[in-house]
Amino acid sequence: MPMNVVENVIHLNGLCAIEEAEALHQALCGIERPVFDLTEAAHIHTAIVQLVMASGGTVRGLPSDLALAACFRDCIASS
Amino acid sequence: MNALLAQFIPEARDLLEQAGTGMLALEQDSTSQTVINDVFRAVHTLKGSSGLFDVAPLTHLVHAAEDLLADVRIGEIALTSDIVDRLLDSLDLVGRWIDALEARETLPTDAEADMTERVAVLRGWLAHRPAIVGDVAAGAAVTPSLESAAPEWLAELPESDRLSAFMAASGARLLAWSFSPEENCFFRGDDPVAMLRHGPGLLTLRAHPREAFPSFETLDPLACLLRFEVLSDASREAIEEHMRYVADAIDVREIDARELAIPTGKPAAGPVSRDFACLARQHLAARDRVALDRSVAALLTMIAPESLQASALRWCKAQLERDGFESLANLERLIAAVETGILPPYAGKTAESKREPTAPMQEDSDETANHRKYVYRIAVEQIKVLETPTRPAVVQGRLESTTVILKKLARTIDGGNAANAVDEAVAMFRASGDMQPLRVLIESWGAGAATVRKDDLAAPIGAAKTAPLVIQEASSTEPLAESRAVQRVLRVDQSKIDAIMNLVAELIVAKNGLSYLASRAEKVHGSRAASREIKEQFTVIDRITQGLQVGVMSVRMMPVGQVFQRFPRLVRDIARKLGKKIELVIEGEDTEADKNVLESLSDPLIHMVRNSLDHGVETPDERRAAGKPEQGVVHITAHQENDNVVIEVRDDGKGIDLGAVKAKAVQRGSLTTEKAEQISDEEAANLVFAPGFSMKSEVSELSGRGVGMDVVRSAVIKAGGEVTLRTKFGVGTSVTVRLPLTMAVTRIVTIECHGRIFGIPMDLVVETVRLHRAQIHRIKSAETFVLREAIIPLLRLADAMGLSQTEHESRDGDEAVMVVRLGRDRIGLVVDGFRERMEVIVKPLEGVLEGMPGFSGTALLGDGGVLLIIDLQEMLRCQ
Repeated sequence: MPMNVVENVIHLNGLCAIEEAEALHQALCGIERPVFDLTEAAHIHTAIVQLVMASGGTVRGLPSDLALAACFRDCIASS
Repeated sequence: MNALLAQFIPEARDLLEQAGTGMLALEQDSTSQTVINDVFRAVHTLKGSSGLFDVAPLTHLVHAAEDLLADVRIGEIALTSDIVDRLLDSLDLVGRWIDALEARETLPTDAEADMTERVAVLRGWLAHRPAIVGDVAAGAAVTPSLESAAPEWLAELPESDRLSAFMAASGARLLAWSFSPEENCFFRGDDPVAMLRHGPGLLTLRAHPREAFPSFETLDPLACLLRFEVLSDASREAIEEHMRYVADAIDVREIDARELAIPTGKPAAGPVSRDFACLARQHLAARDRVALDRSVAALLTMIAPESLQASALRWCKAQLERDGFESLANLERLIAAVETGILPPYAGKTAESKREPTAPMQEDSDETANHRKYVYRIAVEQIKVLETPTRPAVVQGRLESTTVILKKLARTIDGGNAANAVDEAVAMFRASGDMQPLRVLIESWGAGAATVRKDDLAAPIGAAKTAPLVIQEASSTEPLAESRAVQRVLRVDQSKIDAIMNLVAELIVAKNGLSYLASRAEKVHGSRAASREIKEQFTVIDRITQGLQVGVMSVRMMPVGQVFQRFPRLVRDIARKLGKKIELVIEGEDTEADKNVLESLSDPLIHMVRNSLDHGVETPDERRAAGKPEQGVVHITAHQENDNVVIEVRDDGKGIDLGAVKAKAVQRGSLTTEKAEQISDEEAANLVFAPGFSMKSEVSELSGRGVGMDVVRSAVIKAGGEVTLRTKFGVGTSVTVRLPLTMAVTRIVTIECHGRIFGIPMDLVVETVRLHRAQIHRIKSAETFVLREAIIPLLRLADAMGLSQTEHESRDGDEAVMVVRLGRDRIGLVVDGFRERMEVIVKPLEGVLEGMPGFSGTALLGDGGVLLIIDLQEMLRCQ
């Protein structure tokens, strides 16, 4: 399972395919201020990228791939 | 074969056909926009689909053709016969490659060479080619075009990204492109982020929602709402190739790397920056790099890093680092930006600044605009605070604090008036709990902010923007293509239809079994009631089977137009080769016939048309001499006649000299001199169908080998049809082919001969008569009889089949005679008796029966017996 939720922190690991999108959407609906840790993500499908962006949460660890990381530029935790 | 490829092959053939037909139509009338759009769309689609497979030469060739057509479409190039020749030739080559793909799933080895040569020719015609990336000399002013206008969103990319892209860019030019995937793209298996990650020369990208996201709960996780903006250091071709499946969703602009230098931030002009500008210009004039670097670094430490001036300085620094003094103009722009807070338009563009950079005024209005924006944002937050439900005790405190904030904000924008308005609105809220007046008030502040917001964005970026209008080549054709795709057509493998057809055929045979069963119930079991019930049931099944048969048949029916499609091309090519002027008129292409029938017809038709072109229509000189118009006309017409489809090829050429035909026939020994004088013109004309007959003394590339008309006749006869020729010397020739509409189910009549049952195809039967022996005349050894004043030769079937005759000789009374038509002759066939008619599926003779002369096949009878179907033509030939 590439998705791991601990309280309000969501870890996305490895290859996050579109199949996870609906489960992630469900999970995020129940989390107040989600925080994403994407450090371990090798690839994140657009649908998942979009959910992270739309959730209004913050990203505390960016994926190592620069292009992928660039997608989350606006979600990086300011502190 | 790969299922996708299997689907591509017939589609490609259709598209080639479409393009070819259209091209010929265009040669006649090159102004028809509909036709050129059709051709263009076909070629465009072919190019697109071919991209799915490993057939690069094919894609390249079609691409070259597409480019050429695109220029023809916009009127850049006039379509000449030479161009049409070349395009058709290229399409032919593609057609052959498709054949090769079908056979071996790979292109021929010489494909690459063939492609290169043709592409060179096609490209040679192109009026202009878009400038190739890299050709543009660094720093040279580029003619601005809409396609190359820098997109507006450049300024929205973070400065750090733009800076690093600027530093990383290998040349002067970069691609700034955006990608707005379709909402349903996930369902097609697309992953836009993955596509971008693996894109060539990626420098940076930005993802953001096309519109604000809906509330998270209602968001559809499987709809793509994102838009991407990308900077790439790659050629336009590379990006377009990489994104070829989503070509409609991208907008690629070529920009100068220096266009990335857009200082952003809040203008904070002051005396320091003006001094700097003065100094920097001096350094610039003196080309003093060290001094300029120092000044830039010094000012950077003095001003707020988030200000526009600081941003401009950082760009100055980057530019110096990368290009040194290579582009002075751009450095001057940046220095001006430091001085005034406004970036002058980019030198490479001709776009004019509408506003003169009169700094102070501008700055003031910018400041006000920014200020109003922040005021509005804070005010909106206050409303949100008030709206958040909480305990009553807390509500009071909140209201007071927000009132204080709102009043303070109001004073900053409109002095006391706005503050009073806040008091009024808050009082109303306290009294009635109605927050509406407060909301309206805040919105009015927001409206003020919105009207100036555009300026607020434009000012720091400068007025270098041009409207981002991109004309996409294909966009105008897309809606049409879509409506075409909606056409509800099912592409089914013919073998599947054939399988259904066979089952229907067997059902028809099985159905015949019921009537056999009925008679058996009555005769053997003596139950008339049971027999009647079976018969009733039989009629029901009969009705359904007939419906089923008609249904399947209609699926197999194709318009003859499909066979005719190739003729415009054939006629054009042959006419050009022979130096003749020929107009082709096709009529009745909607007439339908069974697919197999049409397929069996296609080769004979080509021979017929070739003959008309080669032997029929004369050269323009000959025609003028004969008092005919220079242009000859060849008609191909089709129509339905009863259960037959009739196709006629008619020309207004020189006709056939029947005297010469007879002489030739006599010379070849196929006709005696006496008979030559007796035969009618019609009979003489049909002599040309004899094998090896040719009027031409020399063999041409097209015809004259003496096989043409024989091929026509044997193919047509094999398909159960007939062919006739009429001609008038000097006026023209017409060849008519008559074929059954369908070949699957044959109606036969069964006859008895010597105690055995045989079947004879119904279409051959003219009538059945009973003759008294006295009516049969003997002419030498041949028997004949007279039927309505015509002498008809008699043939005893038993003799023809070598069955014993003795029994019959002794019989008295009537003879049962079946009059059949063979070609244009009628023959009386003496049989022992007539039996029922039925519909059967004639199966070809197989196994040990294969090659047995005199029979065309077998059919299964209702009682399980096997019926032999007589091939009268062949049986008589054996006589």
